[in-house]
Amino acid sequence: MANLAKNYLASVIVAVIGFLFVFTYYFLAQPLNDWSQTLAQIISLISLFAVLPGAFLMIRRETSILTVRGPNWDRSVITLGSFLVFLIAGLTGLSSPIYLWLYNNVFVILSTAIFSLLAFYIMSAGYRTFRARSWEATVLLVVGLLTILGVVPFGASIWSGFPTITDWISKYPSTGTSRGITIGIALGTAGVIIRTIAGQGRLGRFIKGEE
Amino acid sequence: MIQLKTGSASSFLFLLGFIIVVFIAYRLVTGGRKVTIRLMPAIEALDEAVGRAAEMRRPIHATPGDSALGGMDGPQTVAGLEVCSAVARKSAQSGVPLYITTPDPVVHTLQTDIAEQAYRLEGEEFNPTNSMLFPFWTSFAIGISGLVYRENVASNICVGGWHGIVLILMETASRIGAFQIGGTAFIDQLPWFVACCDYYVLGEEVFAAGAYLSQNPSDISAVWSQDIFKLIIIAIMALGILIGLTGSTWFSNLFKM
Repeated sequence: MANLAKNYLASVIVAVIGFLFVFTYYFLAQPLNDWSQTLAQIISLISLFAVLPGAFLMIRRETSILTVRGPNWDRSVITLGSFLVFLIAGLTGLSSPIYLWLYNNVFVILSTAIFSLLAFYIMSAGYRTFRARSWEATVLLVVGLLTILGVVPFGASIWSGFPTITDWISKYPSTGTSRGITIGIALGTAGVIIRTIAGQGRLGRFIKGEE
Repeated sequence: MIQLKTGSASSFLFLLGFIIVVFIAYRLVTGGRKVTIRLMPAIEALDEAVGRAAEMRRPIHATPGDSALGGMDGPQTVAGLEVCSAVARKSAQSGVPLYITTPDPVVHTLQTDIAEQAYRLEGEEFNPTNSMLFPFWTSFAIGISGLVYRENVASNICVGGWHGIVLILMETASRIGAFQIGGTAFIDQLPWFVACCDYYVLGEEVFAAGAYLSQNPSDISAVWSQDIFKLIIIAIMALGILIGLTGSTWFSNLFKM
């Protein structure tokens, strides 16, 4: 019975719900459109519960490090402490002053700081990429330099043609190639979705435990 | 009363056409038609990534990306999970510790299960605490970067749906000299994979990676059907150019339905 549910029930649920979402994307057919909206909300709620195994494994991992005073055990204290503080603050309500204070003054600040790191990483990755090691890298280097010179204010003051070249690069070669890639990606995405709904996808095989 | 939404007729017809091509390709491939996928160096390099970790006695980090299973990013995550599954099997064979991470709770449950299955198939046991959930993009970025740095991973495998934070992970891995294989179908992120990875799969190759690994007829037929439909699209575009050159707009107007 358990195998039957695992092998067939999951596939049937995926097929019915997948078909409903695709159908209501293209057609207006009440009450199906309302049902798909309600289902989308239910799916979001179910996925929230999936946080629990992750949180459980995190607590298990950190407490095991802490109990044996493993390497970097002090980090486990911070992780578990932060988890508990936010959990307790969250239980007081998402609009409670204590939760909002923690969210705005700790979480948002830390997130912004981490995102700001990207600027430095872009510089170092760009340095590694823009080295003329081969003719392809040289083309990339030249196009990159032309694009930068066309966008930065002093580029136009050096030569007024830089912005025109940048505009041409972004309008034609760049748009053309990215559209070609987009068509391939769209077909790949649609292919995976169609096969998943038809019960032939990789997701179905993962659920059934097949390799 | 069923009514087609305004402006969606042409895309619906394209979808119907694609569904037909997918099913014809599936019937042909499962019926015995030989279709091969060209050599994918990035996927072949998975053995090198695991072998390197085994020689250096250092762990491997694998992740199916920072996207969820739902929405347009889902298929990329599924492709990333396929790669993670292959990495897990190879890690189990070589006895290399594997860390597997995600920011999405649903993907976390699935990836833990996939890693456990892969290890079980090799007669080994996967430590579930090595499957980690960092449930927000920034915490995921800094969490996995810290993990990669702290554990001094030998190889970093990051194929899947990726947004901006992938650069934080890959640059950290680059700094510790990790061997990197990555890939995504998000156009904005493609340059970072070229910049940081030793091997990469770009765009639709991400979807082909799963088929390349599994060699499953259903997956191979899907890759083939995409190629067939791309040829059809190219033919339609060529026809559109020719008709457009005559000054007529009726053909391009068909796609505004």
